[in-house]
Amino acid sequence: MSASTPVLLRKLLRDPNFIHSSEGLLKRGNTSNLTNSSRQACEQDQIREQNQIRVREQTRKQDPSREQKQTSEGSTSSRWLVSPSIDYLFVCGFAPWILGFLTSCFCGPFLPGSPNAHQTTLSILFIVLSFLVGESHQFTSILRNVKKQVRDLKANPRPIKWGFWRTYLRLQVAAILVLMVNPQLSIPNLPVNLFFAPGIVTFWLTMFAAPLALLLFPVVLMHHICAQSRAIGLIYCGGQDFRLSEWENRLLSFTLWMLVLTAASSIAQPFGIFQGFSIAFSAVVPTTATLSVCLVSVVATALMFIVRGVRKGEWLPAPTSCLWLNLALFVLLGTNPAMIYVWLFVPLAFHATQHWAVAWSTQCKERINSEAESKWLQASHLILPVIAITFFVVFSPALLDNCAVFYTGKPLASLLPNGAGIFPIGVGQEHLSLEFSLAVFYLHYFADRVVWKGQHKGSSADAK
Amino acid sequence: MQNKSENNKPVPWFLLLSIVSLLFTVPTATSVFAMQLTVPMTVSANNQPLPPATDDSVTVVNGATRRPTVEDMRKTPKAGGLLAEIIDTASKNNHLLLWNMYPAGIRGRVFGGNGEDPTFAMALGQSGWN
Repeated sequence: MSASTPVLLRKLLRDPNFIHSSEGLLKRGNTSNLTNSSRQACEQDQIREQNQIRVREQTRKQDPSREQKQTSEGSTSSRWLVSPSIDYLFVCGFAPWILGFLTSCFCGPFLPGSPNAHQTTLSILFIVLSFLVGESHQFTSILRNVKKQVRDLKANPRPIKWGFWRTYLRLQVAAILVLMVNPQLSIPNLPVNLFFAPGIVTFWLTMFAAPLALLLFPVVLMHHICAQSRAIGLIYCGGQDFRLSEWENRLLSFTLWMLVLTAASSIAQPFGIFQGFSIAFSAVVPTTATLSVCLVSVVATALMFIVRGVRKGEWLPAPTSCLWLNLALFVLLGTNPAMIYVWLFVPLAFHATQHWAVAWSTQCKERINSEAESKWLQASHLILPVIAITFFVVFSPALLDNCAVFYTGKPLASLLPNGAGIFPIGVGQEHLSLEFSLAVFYLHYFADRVVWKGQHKGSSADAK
Repeated sequence: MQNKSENNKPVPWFLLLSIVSLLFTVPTATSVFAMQLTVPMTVSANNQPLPPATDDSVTVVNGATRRPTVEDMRKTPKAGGLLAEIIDTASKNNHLLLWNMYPAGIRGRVFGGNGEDPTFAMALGQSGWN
């Protein structure tokens, strides 16, 4: 590699993902975007990879047993996201049962106003973990998405386009954001009404979309949990070469949607900004009917896989069975009062830990060339930025408030007016917390559906 | 030569970024936790109830040299009591069980200061939890 090659480019070239994409560029002959030095670097990387492959082939010829051993070890490890015990506990859903049982046994009944020392310790531990594991898991996919966008932009820089309509749209979005922050500047009071008049549809769509996103928050959350469980179950299936037929996929999807609807009518009902909304929702999605259909579909799905196992000898992988069974039990038994202790740990030790496990597994697969790195460095590469961003986003409202008090002697909410009415957008600490919660969750929800697609063949965390 | 260059790798950017971010946010986080999770113990460390308060009894609570009033107890969440509040709310609002146990909901309680989730109580309008 020539000394004139920029440091950043060298780093990117060391990145296997970039090498992969640069190979694609070279193969397609699309080298117009690459400088001479970077083209040389790509070619050198290609030569280096070819040499590695040659060395591997020679090793295989000399000692085939070693190669077989390595392959069998690899296939065993590829079946699990982290390790068998961790996967069964924190991915397949056994941890919430165990932790819930232990909590109810050792800490006794939680009576408001009379915490004992055990309860105090457990509470602090639980709250800290909910920050470090639960809250932070959302940022793994968001951060990965941002990194991917930046990498793509660096590999293929695109200038920002400033056409009339694009500029107009951006100005509209900016105006809507200003109105959200300060609704006292309502549309009739704005002198620029004429300019923004065509954008009034966009404005009202935004005004309705945001409260709707807030109303349906628990339902979308439940769908997110179910979709993630389905995807991880399919990853285990892929690891053991268990392919689902079209009908099996359809029934599975139907069952998962029924689980979402059951939860939406029982333990994850939409929020009720409007008094009548929840009542109307309950009327549309009646609990008993949904629960009955859900039970039937869960039993039918289980029977379908059992019949396939008996007839063809192809059994659903054990981790997938445990994962989906636990998910169904969490939802179906959710209304049972004893389940509160179990549910205390479901978001933390079932959903968030699943996400961390997928993130870890994907990173291990993608950073296959950096074998020299210790596990600690790899773990810190994954965890530290995520924790840092979590802290920053979670505590930034308090940080801003503290700054406002320090410099002006008044809290932030008193400096700028907060939103009112049905659209609680504002700049106060509590408003910002709510807005950040919503924004982070929905970003995570959408990023999650695309961002874990494997960048190499074989890394198949792409079923969400 | 190659080994030498590998040993002299620059400090990863993420490590620097993370440390800087944590330096800024951890003090705030600590102050929030310290403020919100201060424990006005109603029982002693060995689970024995404290002696009943008398008019002249003095206890240090949150730096103040007085016994906490009922109003203080209501406003200030107790670390143990916070989990109790979460479980209590979940049992009363079973239809929002998922949200009650979700980290963002718990965060709302920690920031709220009195065991309730002020952000979503505000989102729900004047009616509070539905």
